[in-house]
Amino acid sequence: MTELKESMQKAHARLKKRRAAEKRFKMFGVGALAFAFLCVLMLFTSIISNGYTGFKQSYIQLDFVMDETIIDPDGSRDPAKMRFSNYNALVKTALKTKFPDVTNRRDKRKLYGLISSSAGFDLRDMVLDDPSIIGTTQSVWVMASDEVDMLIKGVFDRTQPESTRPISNTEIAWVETLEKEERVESRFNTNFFTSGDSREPEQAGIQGALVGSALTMLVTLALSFPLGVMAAIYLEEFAPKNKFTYLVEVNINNLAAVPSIVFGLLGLAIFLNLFGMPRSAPVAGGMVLALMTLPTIIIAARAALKSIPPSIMEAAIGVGASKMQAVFHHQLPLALPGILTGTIIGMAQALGETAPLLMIGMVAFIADVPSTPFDPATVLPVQVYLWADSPERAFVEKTSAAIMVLLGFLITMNALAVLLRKKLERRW
Amino acid sequence: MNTVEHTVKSYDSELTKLDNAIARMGGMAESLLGQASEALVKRDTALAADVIHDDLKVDELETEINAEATRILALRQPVADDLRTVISALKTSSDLERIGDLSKNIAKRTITLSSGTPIGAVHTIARMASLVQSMVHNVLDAYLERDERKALDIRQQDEVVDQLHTSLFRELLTYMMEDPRNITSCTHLLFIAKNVERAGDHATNIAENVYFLVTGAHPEDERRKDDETSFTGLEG
Amino acid sequence: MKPMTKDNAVDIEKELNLSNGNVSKGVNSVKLSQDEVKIAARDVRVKYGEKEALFGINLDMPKGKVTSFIGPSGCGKSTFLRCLNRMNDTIDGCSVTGQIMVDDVDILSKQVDTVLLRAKIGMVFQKPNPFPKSIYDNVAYGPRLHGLATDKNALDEIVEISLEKVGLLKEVKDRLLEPGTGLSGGQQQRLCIARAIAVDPEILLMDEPCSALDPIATAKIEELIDELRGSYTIVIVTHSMQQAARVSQQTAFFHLGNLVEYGETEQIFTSPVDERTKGYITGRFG
Repeated sequence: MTELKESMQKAHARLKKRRAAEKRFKMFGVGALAFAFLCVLMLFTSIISNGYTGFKQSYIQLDFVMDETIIDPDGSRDPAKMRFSNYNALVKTALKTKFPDVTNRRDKRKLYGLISSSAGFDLRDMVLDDPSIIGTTQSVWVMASDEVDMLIKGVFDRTQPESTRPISNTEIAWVETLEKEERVESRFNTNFFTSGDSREPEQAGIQGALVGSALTMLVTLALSFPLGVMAAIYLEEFAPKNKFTYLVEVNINNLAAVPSIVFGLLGLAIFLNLFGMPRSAPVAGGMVLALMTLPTIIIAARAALKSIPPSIMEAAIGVGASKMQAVFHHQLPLALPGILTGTIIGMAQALGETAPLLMIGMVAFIADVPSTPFDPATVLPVQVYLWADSPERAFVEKTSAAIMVLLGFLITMNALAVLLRKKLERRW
Repeated sequence: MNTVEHTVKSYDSELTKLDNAIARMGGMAESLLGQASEALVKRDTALAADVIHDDLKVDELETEINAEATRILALRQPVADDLRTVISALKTSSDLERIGDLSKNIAKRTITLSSGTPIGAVHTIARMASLVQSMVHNVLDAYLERDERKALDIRQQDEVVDQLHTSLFRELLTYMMEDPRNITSCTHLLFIAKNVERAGDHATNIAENVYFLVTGAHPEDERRKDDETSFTGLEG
Repeated sequence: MKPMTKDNAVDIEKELNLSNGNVSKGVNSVKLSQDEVKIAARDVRVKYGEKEALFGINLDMPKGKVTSFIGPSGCGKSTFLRCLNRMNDTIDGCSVTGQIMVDDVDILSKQVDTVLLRAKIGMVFQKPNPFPKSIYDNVAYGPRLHGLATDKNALDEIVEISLEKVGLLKEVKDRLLEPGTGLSGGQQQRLCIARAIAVDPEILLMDEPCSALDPIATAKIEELIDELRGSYTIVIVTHSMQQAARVSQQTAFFHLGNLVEYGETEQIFTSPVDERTKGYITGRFG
């Protein structure tokens, strides 16, 4: 009887130990998850806190005298001529009128620096749209310069001593005057999405990069999807099982792990130097990214094809389908959800690639929005890289805002992949 | 009685074929018995010869039923009432074949008797035979209708046959003791009577087969054997 | 093509000059006249790489009847069945030699188009494998593939007739567009049979068609086989000897790649000639 009691006690003690170990393990798991979640949270918080202001832009309202002598001296109202008139002079005049007691040349330069250089172009566009305003006085909201914008957004702290900030007290005084007159406003920064890159931070936008990314993705998809799927079908169904195909398989799997910059070097050497493709064009970038994405698509497609039960193929062949008919009528359509998921994930990866594209030159400053895949362009991640490199304080928020847009796309694409997989998943 | 058919219809048709063969065989055995009895009473040797010849058909049917039953057992692996159907068919065909043979034996002896003097006892035999004929008829009805109560009633009829046989036995013994010249014909008649009585017993066997076929069990009470010829002693 | 009888079995051995490996000296007691034979196999040998699976099979299968192949696992019955519609071609490293005549055409010759062959010789598999398409599309796939229907109405008719023949039409008439995989196991197998007969084959090969089904579904399939023979020549491989006994008219017993005995089903199951056959069907096999 005591033996039984002893063994029961020992068993009980072992059980307790086991339970404790399980509990510890679970706590470690939860802890690890919590830590990972915290890191992600910190990352997102820092990006968003830096970037949300990038979606706002400060505007200043001034009264502009549409001086005919400057705009259209010979009265011809000829658009070709009026295009090149000195509209900046009008801006300067408006500022001088607003702040008449600024006489010092250095101070005058500072005054003119309150307004973004885009103001002149805005006025030009107004005149070309509607020449009848020549000779009138127009009250227009124009973009503030990046320093004023930073001041208004609170990035430059007014309370701190002057030496700590790039904006002087005099400038602040002017801005405060304008603020008191309610001539300062913060609007949603549509310009961010509608204009290309610019040296001036307030005028810089991601449209160029977005279009560039879109064109590059298009080229990548057009090349890698058909090639990848066809290669997967051939390797899975038709290739003879010998040493050579085994080698090919191993190599494809390894290619998926090659550092992306190597593909960039390949692109530089072959596409640009050997084939003479246009440098910095989406077509070249797309081809490099296609090379990178191919292994991902091939591996995903092969896995999807393998998952189709062979009984379906047997049934098709038994009814008299040829191998090709069986593959294209039955295997491919059933494997398509898996293939699409793999493709979307591959595309999402390609969207965020920077290193290989830097190698083929998509790192130049491109102000125009590209219209064909052969025009020079840049892509969103590269744009982020370029802005991160710029000295102006205002580019910080722009960089973070661009990162937010990029992350938004990536999250959407991955969510789409998950949704697709869940919806089309088939239980055999 | 199963009203639901087998999913595989050919199975049903095979079992029905078996039943039909039993019905045919029974009809033949019944009529053979009747003809043998008629030949005996009328002293008709031509009819008796027909009976001897026609018994072959009964034997053929038994072979056919055996083959068909074996086939069903091998190919269909019957169970439950299907199995009992096949077993009962086998056993019943054997009983019916014996009835045919007994009728043939009666006919053979009829031919022998026809040359001697007629004996009145044949009428009793005719009565026995007619009873057995109706027993065979009824038991086959019971078989095809799967009516176990009808089958058990046959046993009562057999009691009467047995009683008739006992009294006939005594009667013939008396004749033989009266006049030794009667011994030959009476001996033949004794055998004929025994054959008829045996036919009745076979009909009763079939009745017990029917009971087994329908219920899967054997009748609880012992069959009554009223044949006391075994105990009929030599009296002074 | 001389049909096989007991007398000329020996002649054929001499004719074919069988000197390599084992010879299938099986017992053959099926007597057929020339026009009764639908499939005639002569010295069929199958190798998977270096491993020999079938040793010289000689077999005549009659038209419009059901022939069953029985035998323990690995005896080669499924392998031989798959030779009859060249499904072994899809297996790498599988070589089939010999001659299989179907109506005067040797289907093992290289000139034969396997696609057309498989329309003439249909197959039903062990596990019901309907396509993940609608019931209609399952049955219509074959006819569409071979261009058997000129327009939609003709196709509809083919589908209806096929479903009717397998006894499914009444059950699925109002849900032809629902997926075939939504049917029960027995219905799925009948759908697969409908799919096979939709292309109007002459021969139906069935590889253990009922092994994944419950007894009621099995009985329905056996009744269907009973109904279909006559219009089709059916060859069925089965693990269940009882099924072979119920369903077929001729039975072939395979063992270790050899054809041991081939005869009328009734004779095989009441008095088999070869000891091995007897041992197998009575369950005395080691």
